[in-house]
Amino acid sequence: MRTVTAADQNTLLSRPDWYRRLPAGKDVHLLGTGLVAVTGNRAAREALTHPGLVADHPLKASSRAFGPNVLDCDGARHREFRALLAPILAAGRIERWRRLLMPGLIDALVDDVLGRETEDFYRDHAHRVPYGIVCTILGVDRSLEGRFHELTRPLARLLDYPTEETEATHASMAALLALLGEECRAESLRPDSLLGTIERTRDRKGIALTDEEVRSTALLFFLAGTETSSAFITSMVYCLGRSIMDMDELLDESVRDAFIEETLRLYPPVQTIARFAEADLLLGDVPVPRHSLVLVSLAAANRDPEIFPHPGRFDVGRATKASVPFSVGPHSCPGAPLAKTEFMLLLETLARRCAQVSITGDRVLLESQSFSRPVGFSVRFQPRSKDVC
Amino acid sequence: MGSKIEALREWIRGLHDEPVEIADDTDLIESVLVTSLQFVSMVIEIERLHGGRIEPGVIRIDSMRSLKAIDAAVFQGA
Repeated sequence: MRTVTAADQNTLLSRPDWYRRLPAGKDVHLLGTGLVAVTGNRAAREALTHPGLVADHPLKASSRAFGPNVLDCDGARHREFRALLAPILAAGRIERWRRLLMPGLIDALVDDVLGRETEDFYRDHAHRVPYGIVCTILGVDRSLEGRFHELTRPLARLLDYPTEETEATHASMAALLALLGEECRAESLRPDSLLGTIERTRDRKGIALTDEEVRSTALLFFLAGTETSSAFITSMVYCLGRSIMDMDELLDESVRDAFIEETLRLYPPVQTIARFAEADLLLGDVPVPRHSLVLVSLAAANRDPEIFPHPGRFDVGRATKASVPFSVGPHSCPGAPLAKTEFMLLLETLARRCAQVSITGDRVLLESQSFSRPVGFSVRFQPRSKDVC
Repeated sequence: MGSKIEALREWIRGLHDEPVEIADDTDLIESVLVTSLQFVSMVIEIERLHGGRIEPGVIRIDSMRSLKAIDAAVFQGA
């Protein structure tokens, strides 16, 4: 591949599978002045845990838009942000939501799609369960769910590559922060809601965060919990429709778990992670100059042929569990257990109620780096003659 | 403005296929003349033109927002 100039960077990242253009057999690629790509599984792990490669860069769009936040901080400040989110993602709370909140949302979604063919599952259906869950966790009025969805989807492009930063994205963000501000002031703010928990944790631990930073943190949690899950649910339905697996097999919890792991391996919602070199350093034996942008492709790491034989094949029987769909290291996704609980229950419900999920049209396209999912496919959900209990 | 800022102006022009106008006080971010990822390359280019390390504290949004700000913070501030 020829040297990638700064002018080419947006073109390079316009495709989620940009890593396919790089030469095979190398894990770390110097693409141009200050631009490094990491595609090997071991090298990706090294990069994501390297103390000299940081998330913080004051000129990043997300950093400028959200101010100090959990995505763009490192070290002690980053740990403080994570501590704010930890109570809300505790196993006990997830279990409560699994029993009391998720079943109703999932059944409503399956009721809507069963017996029908849908042309755009992502646009029309995939968001309903994650938005329902995260709105409840956030403690916002459910009547505002549609409004949150309408405003959040454009905002997601601010975290994508190439970044789309327009007046509309900033207007969406301002509107969402205003909505959150209103919810914060509402007398009905539940103590176990995200906003209530963050404020209480901040005060108890003496974490110096302004109210604006609390709302930015909540907004990022919302964005991650809704849009990444919507993207992955789309991928999961796509893989169900493409596979020849008997739905009865998915009644087995261990098979469902393997199915989700394999879908996450091939279709991680976050395909690429950007890091910045604080100092001159080595990745493997490749020198990375200070200030370099290091693009870590989780998608490529999950298809490393050294780790995964026949990496492009969908195989629920894989022995190796070395994929990194939720990243690794200090910035690994704190919401992974919540997301997997949601995916497992949705897949279980689909297995109980669908005889078959079939892809009826497929343009075989993938879209987005940060909320990646197949696009341009239609899918049909054929009901069972009788639900399996 | 000195030759270093002129060289940087040319470098930013080189990011675009079509001719672009870049005034000294043009906001490089809001005008999308330089994207967030390209900013990383721009910092490296500024350091190369400067001929020495830029202190981390200088790489702030306000000091990198326009050619005029970069000149004041880096080239004249050295």
